[in-house]
This record gives sequence, C-alpha cells and structure tokens, in this order.
Amino acid sequence: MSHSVKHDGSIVARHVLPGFGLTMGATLLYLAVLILLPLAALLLKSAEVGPERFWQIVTSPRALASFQITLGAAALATAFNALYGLLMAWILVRYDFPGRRIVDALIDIPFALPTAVAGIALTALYAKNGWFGAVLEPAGIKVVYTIIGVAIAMAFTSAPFVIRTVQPVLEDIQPDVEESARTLGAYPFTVFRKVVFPAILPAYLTGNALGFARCLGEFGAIIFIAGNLPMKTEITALLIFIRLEEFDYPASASLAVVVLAAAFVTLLLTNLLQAWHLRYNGRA
Amino acid sequence: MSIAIRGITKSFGTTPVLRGIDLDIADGELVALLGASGSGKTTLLRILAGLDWPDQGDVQVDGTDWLALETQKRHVGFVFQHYALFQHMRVRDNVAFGLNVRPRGQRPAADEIRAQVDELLNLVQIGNLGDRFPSQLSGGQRQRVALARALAIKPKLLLLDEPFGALDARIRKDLRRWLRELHEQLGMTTIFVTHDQEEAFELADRVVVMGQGRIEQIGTPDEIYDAPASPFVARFLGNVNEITAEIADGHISVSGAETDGLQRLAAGDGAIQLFVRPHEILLEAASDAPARIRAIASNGPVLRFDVDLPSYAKPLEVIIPREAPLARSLRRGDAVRVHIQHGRVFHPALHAANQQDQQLQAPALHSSL
Repeated sequence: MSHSVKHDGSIVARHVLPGFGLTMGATLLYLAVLILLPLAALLLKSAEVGPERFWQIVTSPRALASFQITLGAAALATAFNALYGLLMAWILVRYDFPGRRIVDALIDIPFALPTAVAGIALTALYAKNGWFGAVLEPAGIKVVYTIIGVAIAMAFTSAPFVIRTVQPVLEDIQPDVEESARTLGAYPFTVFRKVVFPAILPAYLTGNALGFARCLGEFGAIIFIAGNLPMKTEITALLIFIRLEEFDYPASASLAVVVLAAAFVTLLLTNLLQAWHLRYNGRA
Repeated sequence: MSIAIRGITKSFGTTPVLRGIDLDIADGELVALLGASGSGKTTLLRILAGLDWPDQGDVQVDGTDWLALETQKRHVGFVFQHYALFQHMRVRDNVAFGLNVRPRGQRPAADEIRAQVDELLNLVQIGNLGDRFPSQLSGGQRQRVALARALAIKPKLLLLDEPFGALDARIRKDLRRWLRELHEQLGMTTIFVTHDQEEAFELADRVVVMGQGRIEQIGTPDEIYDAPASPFVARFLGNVNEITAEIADGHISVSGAETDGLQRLAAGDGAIQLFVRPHEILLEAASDAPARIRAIASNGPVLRFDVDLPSYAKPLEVIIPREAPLARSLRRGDAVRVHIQHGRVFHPALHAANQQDQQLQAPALHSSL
C-alpha cells in the first residue's frame, strides 16, 4: 500500500489493486456459506438434545471406545509421519538423486487419490492373502481389522502434510548458517539439534497438527481395512455415519461436535506454540 | 599464527577456480584478498576455514598440516558476508554458541560464559543489545554480532568474507576504521576478502590481488599502486587511461599529446599500450592545440575532465585539484594541450628485461606546472 498526498495536503492510503471492498465481501461470504454455516447448523442440531442427553451420547461406551480408537490410531499415525515426513523432506531438500523430481511429485498422491481407493488398495495389500499380509500374518502381526490397520490408513492419507510444510522452510535455510556453526566447533548432530531443527520446528509442528487433524476426520480409507467392529475397530467418523443412517441426527451431530472440538483444540494449540517459536522474527 | 600456502588448486566440476596459489602470511598480519567475483578469493578463504578442500596443494599453519584438521578443530573465526546469524537465538546466545557447543569437559561454566559474552558485546560496542533477536538489528549491528560470535572462540586466525559488502557507504567507512583499531588491539592474524580496492588499501598491511584463480600481485598498498605488476592489476585499481602510443628510437609519442618528459624506452619500434592515471595528465590552455574538453564533472575535491584527442574514440580522463588555478578557467569545448607526465607500459620484452624501466617519469614537467 502506498500513500499519496492530496491537493489539500491530507494523505490518502491507496491500494495496489482496486476493488478491496468487493473481494473482501466475496471472501467473507464464501467463508460464511461454506464453512461457518454448516458448522453453526451442526452446533444447533447437537444443542437440540439438551446438555444431559448430549453428555449421555458422547460418554456412551461405544462412543468412548470410538474416541479411544480414533485418537490412539491418529497418535500412532502422526508419530509415524513425524519421523517419516521429516526424513522425506530432508532427503528431498538436501540430496540430489536420480528420480528426485518423480519422488517429489509422488508425495502428493494421497491428496489426489480418492480415499476409498487408498482404503481398498491397503486392504488388498494387508489382507491375509495380500502381498504384505501373507508375510506379516504368519509372523503374528495382524494388520487388517485391528487398530494398526486404522493407523496405517490414517498415516497414508496424512503423509504429505509434514513433508510439504517442512520442505520449503528447510530449503530456505542458508548453507552459511550451518557452515558458521561448524567453524564455531559444532559437529553435525549439534548443528542439526541447535541450528536446523529450531528453524524448522514451527513448520514441523504445523505439519504434524494438520496431519493429526486430518487423521481424526479420515473415513474412506479406514472403513475397508478396519473391519469396523464396534468397541474394537470402529472409528468415530464411522459411528457418526451409522447414527446418521439410523436417522438419529442429534446423536450423530453430538459426536461430530466432539470431533470438531478436538480438531479445533489441536489447531489452536499448534498456533499458540508456533507464535511462541516465531517470536524472534516479528511474524508472531 | 603464520600461514604458508603452497600450490593450491581447486575446481568446481570442470571450472577451475584456483590455479596454483602460493602465499605466505606472517603472524599478526592484516591481509586483504582483492579481486573481482570469480577470482577465487572467497574459495581460498573457505579452504583456510575448512569449508572447502583443495584438489591439490598444501597449507601449513605454524608448521602443522592444516588440511588434515577438520573444520571444528581449526578454531578459526569466520565472518560471513551475510552474517549467517542464528535467527532463532538472541544476540547473547548467538555470541555464546561457540562456547556452548564445546564438549562438557572444556565448556566454561554458565556464569563465566555470560561474563565473556558481555565482555565481547562491549568490545564490539553493542553491550545493550544482548537480549534482542537478529531480526531486530540493523545491518551494521548484525555485522558486529557476527564478529563477536567469531571472536568468542578466541581464534588465532580471523577470516572475513566481504565484511562490509552489504552495508551503507557511511557505516562501511566507520566499521572499516573500527576493524583496523580492533585488529591492532587484538593482534590476531586477519585475512579479509573484498572486491573494493579502496577498502583493501585502507585496511590491509598487505594486499593480494587475485584474478581468474591466480595471484596477480602481492604487496603493500603503496607497492601495488606505484608499480602494478600487470595490465590486469593496473586496470583493477581503477580509472586508468589506456593509450596506444608509438615507440620510435626509444622515444614514446602519443598523437595529439605532449610526451617529451617521458623517459626513453629501450624497446624496438612499434605500437605499445601506455597506462596513464587521470592525475598523471596535465592540461594547459592553448588555442592552437588539437585536444578539446568534452565534459567537466565536479567530483568533490577534484574536477574530472573528459578530453577528446583527435585520433582516439574514447576520451581521456583527467583529474585536477579543485584549487588549481587552471581548474576554474577551463570550459567545455576549450582547446587544451595535453601533457602526459607519467605512464606505465607492460611490454613483454621489457617485462623480461627490467621491471624498473616500466615506470616512466617526467619530473621536470611535473614541477613546472
């Protein structure tokens, strides 16, 4: 935005592009219609049942078991992606190898692929007669119809988040920063721990939080591999779907509110952490 | 510490960047590596720091094989052109970094580190900025932090890569003087890289002029200025007129200019290139002279004249002190007589014969005007 002086001497702010009012209005309308309105409807629907019934629904054994499975599997998947994603981002940024660009393009496949397709593919692989299942099951590791299967499906669909958030930040780290650490006597692990990791940490936290939130909401990829046994491998998203099919709208809305709250809290915490970590560059 | 560099070569891929460097640096010396970009000066500095390794050659520091030492063990203070500060650390932690990463046994106690950091921050005159983040500092302040951080490990060798390259002209000048004082105070061997001839000459005890991966000349600023070893050095030191002259019977003549005062040259007849600095030419108002003043620029303490000689497309550059009586009376378009007082030739035959003869002087003419 630049300033220009009017003939009477007053300074007016000038926008680079015209039509700020129109574009801002359109954006807000979009936000309201596509995001806020459905969320408000969800809250209203769940409020219909009253606090007592709401509490009863969300603390029913089947609901609690589904929360436990969803959160547990999401935690497993996020922990896996935290390691794998960091490694992948590191390799893509720091090494040049044949086919690097192809690998880089493949990273986004979980975003592009319909999740149901992913679910079917994973089930086929890990089933007793699948390529992986045929090896794992005789070894006593059962993936299909267990929480591990749920976690694998979640990890698959949320894998790109960490990679795609860390990658640009890692690319931005100038080589001279690491070189100066070396001349000051720091060995590679110390350079990573004290110089590189703190620099990528805010992005890394964001990537993990987005991935975790995505895991909580994943549905299509999981239902094929999970087996959906109530109390054992039934995720919250599926329970919401089942209640919906039973025309029990208040129950499904109440459960959805819990998932929404969990995702919201995750993002809020991450933003706070991120603000704290970014306090040094004035972007907080 | 004294450094002996022998036969260093280095290529990046198929591009040679250093083509055989031999250089000795004495303990406590302040040396400038001067060269254009691509001359290999920064690569040489990085080899000394252990950030690059040469393809061939040898570096001895106080008699030890320097190239066998890993980067971390060299204890060299290195200041990067763009400071390379740790953005997520406060100034204080940046400076303390070199002490904090030492193995537990050799690490000073926390309060001792604190005291040392305070002392360093005062030394570089930013004692009050310890709790800021680098992003909250100006360029000059960041440069001081980078220097304090490099000094924290008590280096015996300080290397600076274009230390003032990214700063304003005025701050650059202040920092330059200050760095010179700091060097005298601390007395460590210091090598800095620059492409700015003025900076190198003002700051360094000795200047190493580099071009295309080779050392073109080593000497004190005076030696290099008075007797550039090659056309490359003469050109690199800034404004110089390259004039095609004729030699006949050892006498140098430039068409349209007076060269009577120049020494006779023991070389065969033919054309040569004469290198003349703008202040080595005198002008004299003369209505019958063939040269004309094309332009006059007022440049602070001196006036700069562009003078057209009839047989040259490019005008001669001449500078005259503002106070000189002639300076104010000459106007654009005036006819002037051009006296070439000094000049240098780099003639292959002469180069082999006698270096001293290259310096051509005309003291008589110099004193008469």
